[in-house]
Amino acid sequence: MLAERIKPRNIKRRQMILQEGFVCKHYTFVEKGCFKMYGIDEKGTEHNLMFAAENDWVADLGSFYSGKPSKLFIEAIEPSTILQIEKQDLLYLFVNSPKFDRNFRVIVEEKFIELQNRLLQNFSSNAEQRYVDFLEQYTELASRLPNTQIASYLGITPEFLSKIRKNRVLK
Amino acid sequence: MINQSILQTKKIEMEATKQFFNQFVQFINTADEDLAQQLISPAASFHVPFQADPLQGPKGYLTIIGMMRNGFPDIQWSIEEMIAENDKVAVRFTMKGTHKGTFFNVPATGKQIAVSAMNFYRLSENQIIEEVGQPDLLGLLTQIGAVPAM
Repeated sequence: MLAERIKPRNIKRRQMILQEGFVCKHYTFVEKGCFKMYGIDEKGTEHNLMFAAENDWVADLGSFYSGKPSKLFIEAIEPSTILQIEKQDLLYLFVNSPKFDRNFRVIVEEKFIELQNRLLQNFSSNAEQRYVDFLEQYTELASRLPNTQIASYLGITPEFLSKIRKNRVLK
Repeated sequence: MINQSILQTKKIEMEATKQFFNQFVQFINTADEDLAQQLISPAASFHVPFQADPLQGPKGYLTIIGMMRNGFPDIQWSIEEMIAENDKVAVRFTMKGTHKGTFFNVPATGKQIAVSAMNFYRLSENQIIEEVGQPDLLGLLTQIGAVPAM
């Protein structure tokens, strides 16, 4: 039931599976590789919202369910292999496969918890603590990501991130 | 030994370029929005005849394709020849289709067209960043009877 409704794709580094202005039509499972989901502010600065690597799901949920154009980009940081499912197929599986429905709900709830934690960190933690939390959340991924991407995720400059890392080594 | 290595690298790069443009042809022949977002940079510029300002990004390209598909709903492009050097690729296409919609203010005639297009692309990080398109519009307009044959 699932296999016939998913579409595999190979995406090269820097290629995108979602651009601003397009409706997010797929929920994407990352089989191999890594993506970043980000928005660009009025000054042209990128702000990474999240990373998605092996066994992660990624989508602009707001656009996916509302059918409205996204304000986000989802871009491959590494050459990637993905599986994609369209909205009508996902809804079909929710209705016809209670097990899939439950598993998917758990996945989304876990992502929501991550987002809540991140919001709390942004309000209450300094940059160094946010970096430590990032390393805990993305343990395996941290070594694969360029400094610029991690800095964007933390909302700091790459130079400040280098300073934080240097200070941690010296401690 | 070094020459062999350079040749091998060039061969791999050309193969990658061919694969990219095979996907690109699939995109322009289907107007697939997924492929548009994948293959075209949001910062891409498309220079087309009769348009002073270039069109931008995948939406801009979809506008061009939409214009062609409005006039020729079955239009298909095929690659005849391709030359690549560094980040630039020159492609000669044949465009074929049936004039079933208004195109350049010419109402549908039902006539078949087959014309060339010479396009020059610049690629950056696995996406198209720039295109200069030169379709044979004179040939096309002649074939649909908008311009007398010479």
